[in-house]
Amino acid sequence: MIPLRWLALVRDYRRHPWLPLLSVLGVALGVAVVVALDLAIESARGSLRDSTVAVAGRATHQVTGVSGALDERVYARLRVEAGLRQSTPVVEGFVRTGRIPGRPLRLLGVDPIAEATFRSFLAGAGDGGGDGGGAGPGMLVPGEPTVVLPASLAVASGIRVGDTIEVTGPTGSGRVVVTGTFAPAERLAREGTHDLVLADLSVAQALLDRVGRLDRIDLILPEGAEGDRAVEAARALLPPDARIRTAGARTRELLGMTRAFELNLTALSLLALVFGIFLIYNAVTFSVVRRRERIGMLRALGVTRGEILRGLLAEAGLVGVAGSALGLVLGVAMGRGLVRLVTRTVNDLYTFVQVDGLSVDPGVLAKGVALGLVATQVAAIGPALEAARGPVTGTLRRSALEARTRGRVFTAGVAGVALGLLGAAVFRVGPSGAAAGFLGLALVMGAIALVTPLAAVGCTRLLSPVAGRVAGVTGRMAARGVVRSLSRTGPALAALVVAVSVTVGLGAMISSFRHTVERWLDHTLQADVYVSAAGLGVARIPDPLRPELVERVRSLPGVEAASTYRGLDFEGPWGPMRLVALDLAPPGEAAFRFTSGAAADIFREFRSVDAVLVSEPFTTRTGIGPGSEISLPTPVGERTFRVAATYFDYGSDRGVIMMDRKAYDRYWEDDRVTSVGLFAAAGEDSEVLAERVRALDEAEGASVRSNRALREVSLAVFDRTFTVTGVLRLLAFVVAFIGILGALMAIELERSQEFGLLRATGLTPRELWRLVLGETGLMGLMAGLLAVPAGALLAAVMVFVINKRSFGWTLDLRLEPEIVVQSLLLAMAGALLAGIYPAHRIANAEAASVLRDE
Amino acid sequence: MIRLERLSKAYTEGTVRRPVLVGASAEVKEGEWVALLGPSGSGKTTLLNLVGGLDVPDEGVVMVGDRCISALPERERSLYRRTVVGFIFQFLNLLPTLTVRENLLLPTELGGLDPGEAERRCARLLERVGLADRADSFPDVLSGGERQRVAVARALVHEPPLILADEPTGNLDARTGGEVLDLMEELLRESGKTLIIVTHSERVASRADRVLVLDGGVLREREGHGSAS
Repeated sequence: MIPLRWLALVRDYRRHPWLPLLSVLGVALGVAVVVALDLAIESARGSLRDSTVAVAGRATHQVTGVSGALDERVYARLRVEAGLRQSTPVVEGFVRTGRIPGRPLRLLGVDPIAEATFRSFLAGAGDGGGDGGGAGPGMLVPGEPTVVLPASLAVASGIRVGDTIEVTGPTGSGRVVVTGTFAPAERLAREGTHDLVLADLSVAQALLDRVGRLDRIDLILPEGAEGDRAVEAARALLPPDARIRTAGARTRELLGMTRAFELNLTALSLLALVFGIFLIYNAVTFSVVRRRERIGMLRALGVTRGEILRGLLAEAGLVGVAGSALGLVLGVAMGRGLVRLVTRTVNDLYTFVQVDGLSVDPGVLAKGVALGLVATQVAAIGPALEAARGPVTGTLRRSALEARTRGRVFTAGVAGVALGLLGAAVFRVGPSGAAAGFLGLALVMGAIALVTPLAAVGCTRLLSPVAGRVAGVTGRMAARGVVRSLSRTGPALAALVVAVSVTVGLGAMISSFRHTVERWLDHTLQADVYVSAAGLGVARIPDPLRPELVERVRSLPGVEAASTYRGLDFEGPWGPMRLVALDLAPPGEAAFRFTSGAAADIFREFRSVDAVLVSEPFTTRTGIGPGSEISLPTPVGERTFRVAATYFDYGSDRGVIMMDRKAYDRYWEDDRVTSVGLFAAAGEDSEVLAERVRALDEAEGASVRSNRALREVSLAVFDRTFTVTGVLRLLAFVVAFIGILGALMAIELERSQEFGLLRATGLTPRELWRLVLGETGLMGLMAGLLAVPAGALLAAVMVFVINKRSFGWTLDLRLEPEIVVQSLLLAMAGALLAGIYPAHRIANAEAASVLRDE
Repeated sequence: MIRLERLSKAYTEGTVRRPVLVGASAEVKEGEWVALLGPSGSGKTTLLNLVGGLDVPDEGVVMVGDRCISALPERERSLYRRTVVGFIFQFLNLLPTLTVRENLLLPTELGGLDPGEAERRCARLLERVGLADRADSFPDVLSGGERQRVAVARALVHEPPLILADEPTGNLDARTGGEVLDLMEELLRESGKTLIIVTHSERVASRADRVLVLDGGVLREREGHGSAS
């Protein structure tokens, strides 16, 4: 049974059940967004991790090329000269088959003899006859076009053992016989191999255009000093551009690529929770203020401060429990949608990963519940302490409360300015990481919340005469009402301004980014037609083009000049990044914008000596900029390059090192080209030229795009990668809307008695409508107006601090008018909607019943 | 025995400090009825709040029995109110979210009284105040007189030795007010409770054993009644 002292407080909600419901909804949405994003991120990460770990198997170390594939003779040397018997060569890439349309498959080329030692899941491979195994990788016939599939994939696609399937790799197709299936017993191995096709090394090399080359060599080395000696022995035999490292280090490196992206998403999801906290803070503050007389009476009857505090915190706890529970359900549902968006963005920006579904991690759910519960207590502690600490007589007196609140507005404003300055100090002198950036952002948001009531008082003074002229007495009353009830309107306005300003800030950040990328594309895409091999998304560098195609397109009629681009995933001293060898036709020079220096001098240096250009994210990440020298591992040993300039680049946040093709050819034995940019001769239509390329036999399977088409595709990719952010902004919008609705509706309902009194003294229902809607509308207008500069400030922080620190990009800040209009509409719509129910209720009721009820 | 010694209390309004009590002293014997008279704003309610432990004086001492109420920490004052004091206010007497019966049971629950005994007392008192049939009604459907009768019953239900009433009939008509006073007299006198009642009404004051007048921040005994300083 609930003690009467709590029943006296809680029963208040029987009259206005939507008050706690809105609070519950606020917490639920906050928790749901965090849980959904966490689940989505964790599913994508988990899939990437599982597949990397499962494919690495029992390997303790891996040998890889710094800039692409290894010569397969390295394997022989390691095995024979270094005596590393527990070693196996691997090639890995993506293929497609018409039997499983629209889904790329990971092809792993292995040595069937050495394989069983490395990947335990193969021990269960069988012939599909139902005996479950024993045959192992022996099902692969060395040198024969045979493959082994995961049993789940075979069942799902209807492929049976013995079937012959057509497999398409980057440069051609081949027919292979399915000789077995495997079904790993361990869950992780099962999930990590759901899209894995095993083939004999030579078969995979042929399909993936890697004849004579390996993607890596897996090793099992002993632990301790013996292992260290083996590593040293291997290292001594490796070519200069190969390296050996632990299998775990490679997995960590791979997962590390997406860290900035994930941090940003997590921070955005926490924003929704912050809104939730604001909502709860608002709701608890309001519930305390609303029930101050009841609390005072309970105190008069002997209920202690501690009991009041515990009661209010317990009440918030109930909201937290209900909100968190609902949040989990919503979070899992939303997560199913978000995982597709997150995976697509990871594919677009970082690396190829396939996620079959949402993996519901109990740890994430527990974190969501904990966040919901802690957030509600954090939000409730302030108002609950205030209610418990206040003197009994003061609790009973509303005027004392309002007087105290008014007295605090200026102090809060000053504290807000101080907090804002602290935020600025964090940006200027604090740590340079993205996490410190988010801390500064949180401080700025806190500053906005604290300054809002003071700004609202100023706004009201300005708007009051206008409201009077527009709506007469009721207009003036509405304006006065906002300031007179600052104990309620202050926190509500602060919450609204923060919520709306974040939606403005996010909107402005996205539009600034898009605008910057559009401009960048305009000058970067200088060629008229681009030819490359069809790839698996923007993140992966496409496989090289057939040399004969490169030669043919260069000499096509209507081509005035051609630039070639050779891109490689490069594992340099600064982690994974991209190395580009550029044979730049003179018209292509206009594609570059540099952070400093004259373009003519930069290109002269770039072409004449061992110089490189580096992208802005590279400079941001490493601190290496124009004038510095960098040492790069090449196939002929370490070579030093001078950094001629840093150029603006929005294609990859990992960083790019670009060198002239002639310099690349000096050190790398690689004459291949990843893409070609063709410059049309004067009067030549780019679409016609593109068609001419497509008509070439050698262009079969290649991607040929005109400048305009590539620009559209690039922007489509941009929009896709920002869909997650857009969805989060929308969710923030919804939470803010609910916040506005709940807070303002509560304020107006709480004043029902006052409105009843006005009715009793002759205010007509129509005038009452005007008064209530005028008051809520004014608050909405103020919140919207104050949110514009606050949102612009947040946008500046997101653009110049968060983005720069997370991804290394410099963006042009842009505040589109439609974002300002959107925010004003959000605030006004929520505010006016909030006034409808109280106005309707009071205007339609008899004044006496309103007075009696309240 | 209640002893008030040189009580002073002032309120700050903006930058102005307004003294309400300036060295007020008095004594109230056990079982005595004392009426507190004075013009509006003279500090009657403030004095009542000090005795009830709802507030603390700036200077001076409030002794109830051998306990110095004004020196008690907040929690102890809450427990003092819970066990020693029964309040009857002019307004805000009943919790609107609790029924009549629940309003009565609240002080017994706070005092840790056995629920069965609490129910019996509640039923008895509601019978005495003539509202047994309204036990499950919420306060907003009761008349003013009925609400005050419930307030009287609630002030007595946990059997506190001291009742503090702040203009309990101030918003009732003369007849209803008289009925409430009769009820208080009947219930309080028979159980020997001490009563301090704040009033403007001579008629109410006439029922008291003594009348104290608060004027200019000090207490004086009205002629014809016991001693005050």
